[in-house]
Amino acid sequence: MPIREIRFVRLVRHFFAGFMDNDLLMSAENGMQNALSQVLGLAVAPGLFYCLLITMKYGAVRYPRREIMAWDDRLLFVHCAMIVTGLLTVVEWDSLFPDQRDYQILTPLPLAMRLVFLAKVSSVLLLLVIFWAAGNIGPAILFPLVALTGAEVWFSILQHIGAQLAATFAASAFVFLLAIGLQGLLLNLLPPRWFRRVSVYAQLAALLALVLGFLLMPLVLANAGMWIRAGRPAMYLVPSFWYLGLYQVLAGRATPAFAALAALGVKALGAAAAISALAYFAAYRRHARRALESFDAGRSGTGFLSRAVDGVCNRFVLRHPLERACFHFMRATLLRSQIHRLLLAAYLGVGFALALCLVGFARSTAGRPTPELLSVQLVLSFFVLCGMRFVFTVPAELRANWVFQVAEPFGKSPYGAGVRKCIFAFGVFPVLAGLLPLHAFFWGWAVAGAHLLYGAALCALLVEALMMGFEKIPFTCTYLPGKANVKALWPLYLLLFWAYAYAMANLEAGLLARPLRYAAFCAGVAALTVVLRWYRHRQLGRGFHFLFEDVPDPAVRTLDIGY
Amino acid sequence: MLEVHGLTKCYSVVPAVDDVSFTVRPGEILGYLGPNGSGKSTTVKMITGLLEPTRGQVLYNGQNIQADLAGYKRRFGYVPEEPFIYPYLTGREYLLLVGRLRCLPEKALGERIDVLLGLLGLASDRHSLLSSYSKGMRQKILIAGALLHDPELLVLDEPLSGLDVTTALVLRDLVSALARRGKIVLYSSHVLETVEKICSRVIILKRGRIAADGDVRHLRDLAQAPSLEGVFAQLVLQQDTSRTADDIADAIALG
Repeated sequence: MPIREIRFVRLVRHFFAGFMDNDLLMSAENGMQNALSQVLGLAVAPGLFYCLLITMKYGAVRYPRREIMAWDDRLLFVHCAMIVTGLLTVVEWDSLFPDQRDYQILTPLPLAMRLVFLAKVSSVLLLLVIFWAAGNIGPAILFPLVALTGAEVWFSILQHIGAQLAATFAASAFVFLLAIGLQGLLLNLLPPRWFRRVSVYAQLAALLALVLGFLLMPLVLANAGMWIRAGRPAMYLVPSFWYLGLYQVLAGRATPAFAALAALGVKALGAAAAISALAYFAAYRRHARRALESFDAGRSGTGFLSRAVDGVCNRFVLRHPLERACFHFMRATLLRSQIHRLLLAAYLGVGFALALCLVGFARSTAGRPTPELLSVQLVLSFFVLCGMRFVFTVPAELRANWVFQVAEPFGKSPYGAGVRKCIFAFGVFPVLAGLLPLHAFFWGWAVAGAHLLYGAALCALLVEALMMGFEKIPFTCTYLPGKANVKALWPLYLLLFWAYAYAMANLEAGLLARPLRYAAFCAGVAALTVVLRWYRHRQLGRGFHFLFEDVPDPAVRTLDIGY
Repeated sequence: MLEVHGLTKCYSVVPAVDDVSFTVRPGEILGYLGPNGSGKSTTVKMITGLLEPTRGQVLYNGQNIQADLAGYKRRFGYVPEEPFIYPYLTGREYLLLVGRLRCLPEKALGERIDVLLGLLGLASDRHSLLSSYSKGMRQKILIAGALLHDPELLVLDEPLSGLDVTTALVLRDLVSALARRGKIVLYSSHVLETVEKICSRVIILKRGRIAADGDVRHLRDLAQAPSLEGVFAQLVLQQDTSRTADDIADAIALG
């Protein structure tokens, strides 16, 4: 093989390995190849399993009922292809263009810029193709065999296989190219400092949209048949319907509505491809130059308002130096560490999706709060607080934790107070304060105020419950996946969620008409919170040492009853 | 006074540090030398409480540090060998974190940080993220972090790594000045010239064991060597360095 081709292949391999070198995909123990096989395994399994699951569903049904039933499943495959590709794009957001390290290593080598560019583009496209193939080739072969009747000729089955492959690929490519185009446009249009900031929010918004898209999928599927038959305009707004249209056209089952949807999908794909190609090419050179320069060299410090708020907080709220240390460290990690931001955004997305469902299901009661609407605040706070509790266990720059280890002082309670205040500032406060104007607009200030008090009391209790037994300084301890034993404990978690978010909302709906009982309940919750806080304070007392290295559960657990 | 008695650290059964004992008095600068993998950093980590020794103990002012580890930790400043720091914090934020963990009063801490950053030439970069700092700038931040709380004991592990000439000279004079003010300094390094100039006493480590312990002049006399480098070469080096250099050059030419 000529040397140029060898270099090209090695560069493609290098860039592709870079996609797997990601905190969200690879841990130090499992390595790149294991990470790739695990992620591909996750992409392959659900589609195949679903095809086997629906075999019974089509068993006794005949055409044309069978065809209408198949719309839902085709839409599901297209929708899932888009969601999976979207998640992949969000996870690989910072690797879609070569990073600073790539430039620092590759620039001194005798490699033509064009060769590096072509290798990077090829690796990006390879990523798309591999993940699309892993998730969609199996179902594309199985599903037509399951869904078509025995009377269908083999040609028709082959046509359906081809249609599913083409539709899912077009859907995946649309999402992928859209993300690349968006990032390329931001790179071209924004100055470097703004790009970094806006890019982070674009990534978070994309993740939020994907989580919502995934969780609201059952709602879309439930209405798909009706929307298509009635030709509802809403379906033209949902991209997965465009590629369902393409599927139907390619499978020879087009109606005028499907043809219109397919045309829309093809145009959208063409636009995304054109924008991404232009933006990627234009942004590449610009990005190359920027990557070698320091992004942050020109930072001019925090603004006046931020300094003033910090000053007031440090003086009146965070009174102990250790509280300040913990609070500001946690704030910086939550706001600036990519992996922590993404994980938290995923939790928030789940909360948003459930909250939207609750709003959708809420009965119209002319300005009076219903249990469904009352539970929105609790659902959101539950996911935000549980998300924060989870991300605290994920380390940030683990090797830098020596600074906490060498300075570990007496009295761990101020650490606990710092953690608690950070949770309130960045978890409880945004949820409650964000919803308050909406509640006040719909229910009036009196009810909104009472609801805020109720939510704050329950949030405080949940915070104490979540922090019970937490023996770490957030982000500073090793992380052992699976230690939470979700597989065994999920019924308990579900019960807790139900009790916190729904049972408490039902109770509140009943208590709102009885102010005294309402106040007594809030006081009771506050008292319970104080008890838990006292217990936590004792836990963090003398003799307590923070955990910086989590240890796995022993293979054999003894009862410790010997002398 | 810092006393180390029979300090041993084994990984599996292989000793990285084997029965190391020494004492450092206030005002004394102890140079801790040895080739790569000789156990210098492991000793330092045991002295700072980051690693637990397999055997032996570290005493500070006559008391085992494990008896009051938190109290002991408040008294020392530490510059680690590798500049592992939180890259998403700015230089000033990192020092604020360190100072707050040391429970320093907020106002005094802010002032001290600004003074230190100014003296170390980092004032204009104080609001830049540490990820954008060069290796030398990170090292300066680590040094500032170790000095913030005016420690009684200073443990420096390769403190000159990445520093420019001016800062290296400043640090050299600073270590001497701190020793004159009664601080205990443990100075682990590969830079023999600096160690020879500032350290009152030197320990040379070889494969985890002490190969030599004494003041520089005494060691030079014993080894009949003109410099500490000569002493080090006699005790530790087992290869002809110029021959190895020639071999490397030959290997490159063959390639």
